[in-house]
Amino acid sequence: MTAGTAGSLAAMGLAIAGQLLLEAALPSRAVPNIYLLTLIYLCHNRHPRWRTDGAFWSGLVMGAMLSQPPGAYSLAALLAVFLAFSVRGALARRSSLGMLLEVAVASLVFDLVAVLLLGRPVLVSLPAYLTPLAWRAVLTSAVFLLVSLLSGFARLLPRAPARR
Amino acid sequence: MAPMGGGNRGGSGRGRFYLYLAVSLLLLVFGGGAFSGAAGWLGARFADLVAGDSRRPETARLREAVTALSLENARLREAALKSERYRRMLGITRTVSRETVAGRVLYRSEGIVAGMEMVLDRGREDGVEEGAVCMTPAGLVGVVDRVDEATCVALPITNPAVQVAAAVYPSGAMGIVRSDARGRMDMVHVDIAAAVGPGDRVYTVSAGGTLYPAGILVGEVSSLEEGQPGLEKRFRLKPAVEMESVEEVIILLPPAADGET
Repeated sequence: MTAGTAGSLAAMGLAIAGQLLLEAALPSRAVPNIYLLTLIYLCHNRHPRWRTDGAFWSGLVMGAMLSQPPGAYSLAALLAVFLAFSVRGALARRSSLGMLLEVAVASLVFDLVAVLLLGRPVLVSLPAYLTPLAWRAVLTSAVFLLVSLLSGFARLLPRAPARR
Repeated sequence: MAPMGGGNRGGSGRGRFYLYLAVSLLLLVFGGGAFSGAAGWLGARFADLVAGDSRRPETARLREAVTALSLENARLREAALKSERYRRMLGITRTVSRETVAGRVLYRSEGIVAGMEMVLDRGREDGVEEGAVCMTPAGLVGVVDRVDEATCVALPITNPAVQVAAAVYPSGAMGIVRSDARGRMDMVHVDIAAAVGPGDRVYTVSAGGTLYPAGILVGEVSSLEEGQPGLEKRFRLKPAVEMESVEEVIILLPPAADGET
């Protein structure tokens, strides 16, 4: 395991722990999805396999720590990253607006899939969750903007492909 | 769609994506049951390690014994509760100089309070006759209306067909307790000058040789209607006994032929 991989895993572990603390401490509508932010950052800037392996295993850990049925959060993370990258694929590669849109779409898709899979009775609880989902997406985007302002946009944008 | 991997790894990235998608779905459908089953199996093996093999005949026999004792314990607890209830009933009946028999409510016309009837598991073979008074430690329940060989039908005092001569304590004002078709109990024909207030208790009286023994609690005054016309007072009563939840009653058998009242 290289130092970069260990650092990425540590960052993801911290993000999951922080997400759990936020979920436990704040009302659901007031929680930004820092787990997803970290996942997207790692997908762009560390290794493409974070989009599949990373999303699956981190989702599995998230679900286990939140005592949710296994597989639900993995599915949500996989679909969120996939759709967010699909949206971003239609936009310019290195634009802060595109990144912001990607984060918002990923947050919405992640929460929507989680509610669809975990809400009981199925679909009945969805209307009640729509407003909190929108709030979470807005908050996640706001956290992304804040981190961007503090660290500089360029550091969060995807790097140019490395020469092999 | 955006490529799932970078550059020439797009095909394998997409393959891994679908693979993980399929695994997630399988976990979602079967994972919970599989994990809990595996956890149960591991727990059982760990218990075997710590407490011995649960599949041994001796262990199975002890397990059955524990189950049987637990059931017996539950039955004894229920018996103790009933014993306490009957003891209180007997304490009450010591004040009444009549033969009594305890009866269980077998059926009650629930839902519509007015016109409620209770079927009790005591009948003519137990000495019950028409007009026998039913009560609980809390107060008066009603009167037996019809008697069969092994069961009888009692009308509670919230039934419009039942009227009870009663007196208010402490004022001593006398009147008649009766209920309307909706099960609301009133005391009527009370002296208009009587000082009666909410919370005053109402007891049976045996004036004129009525079938109710004196001194059984009927209920308490819940509200007074001001400005009533006429020369008598009437007020609303709250029954002393919750007719919808009573399970057992004491049936006061009719007085002996020697004229006891």
